[in-house]
Amino acid sequence: MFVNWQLRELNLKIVYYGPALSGKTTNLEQIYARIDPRRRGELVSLKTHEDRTLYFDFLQLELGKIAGLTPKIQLYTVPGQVYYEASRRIVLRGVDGIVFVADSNLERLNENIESWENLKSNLAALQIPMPVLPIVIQCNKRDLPNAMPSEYIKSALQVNGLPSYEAIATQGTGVLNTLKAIVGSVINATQRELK
Amino acid sequence: MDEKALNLRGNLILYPTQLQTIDQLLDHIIEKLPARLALLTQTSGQMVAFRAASGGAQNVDSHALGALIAGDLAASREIARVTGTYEECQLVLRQGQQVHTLIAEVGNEFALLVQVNSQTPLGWARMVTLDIARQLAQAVQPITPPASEWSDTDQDLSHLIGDSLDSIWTEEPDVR
Repeated sequence: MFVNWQLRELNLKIVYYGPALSGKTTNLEQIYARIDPRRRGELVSLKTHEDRTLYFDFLQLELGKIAGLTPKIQLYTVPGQVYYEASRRIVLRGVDGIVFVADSNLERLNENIESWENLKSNLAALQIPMPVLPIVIQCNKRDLPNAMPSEYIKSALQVNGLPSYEAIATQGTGVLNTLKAIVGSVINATQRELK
Repeated sequence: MDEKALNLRGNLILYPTQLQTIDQLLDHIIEKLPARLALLTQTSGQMVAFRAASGGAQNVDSHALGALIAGDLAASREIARVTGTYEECQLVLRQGQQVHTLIAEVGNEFALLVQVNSQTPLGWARMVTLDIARQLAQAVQPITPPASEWSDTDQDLSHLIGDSLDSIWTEEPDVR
């Protein structure tokens, strides 16, 4: 979080985390495509030749003035591949909220669990206390024929207390609800911290 | 407020007096070098301040640039760490045909980007950049905060934010 009292801006950083190919970049692409262009910046993507996220994607949204401040929301993704560990940890620095994008594909359950454990490990390494960090779970790819029930995914991740949303990110379904949930949680947490 | 949690998450609050000093320092580097642009960002990627010379790069997406600079510096730090050569106050130089780009650490939590014309002597650019980086590190030190107007609100901000997002969202994607 960065509060600029001169411009009365509240800058918040939200990171989309999850296993490779779970739909993190797709979430940002859909947000980019559906948000009023006057309220967003460019979608910046650092990709490999194979079009996989190498470092991060970045998109900034600017909301209208709320309670005297202009919130600016910076959305990041991390690379999902296991070997981009250092990049993930770098992107998590200064995070205000996390969307964990889980892949509903039954065959990807272990990858979901590994990525969640990896998130916990990286937050611990950065000394970011998980209980105070707003986190929203998105169960993506609900249109797959072998999609696991969302409750099963949450149970496997042991995140039953966290808010969760179903999504088909390629169609934009559930993308806005997820975004509203994490931004709302972050704003509430920020308001509590600033008091 | 949980001060410990706030600090661990790298939260930053800057007040008008600090931001005015930062702006003055960036203006100074634009004029003195002269530089094409100067940008201060947090190492977490939050852009703090941006200045560009007239006729230069005023229309650049400074927030995206802030995120990229932080990523660039973080990658350079990791390279240094992995190869056992990390030192504080490092400066990354990208020497170009037309423009040189310098990225300097500003303490542990900030980075300064300066772009100069390639005709500018590199030693001069490096010296001025590091000098301004040291002054910026002083300017961003925490100060006693004035009372916050925003924190006193009892409004349900998450609902207001949700309404705001609804108002700028369209179900028909722009596929350009």
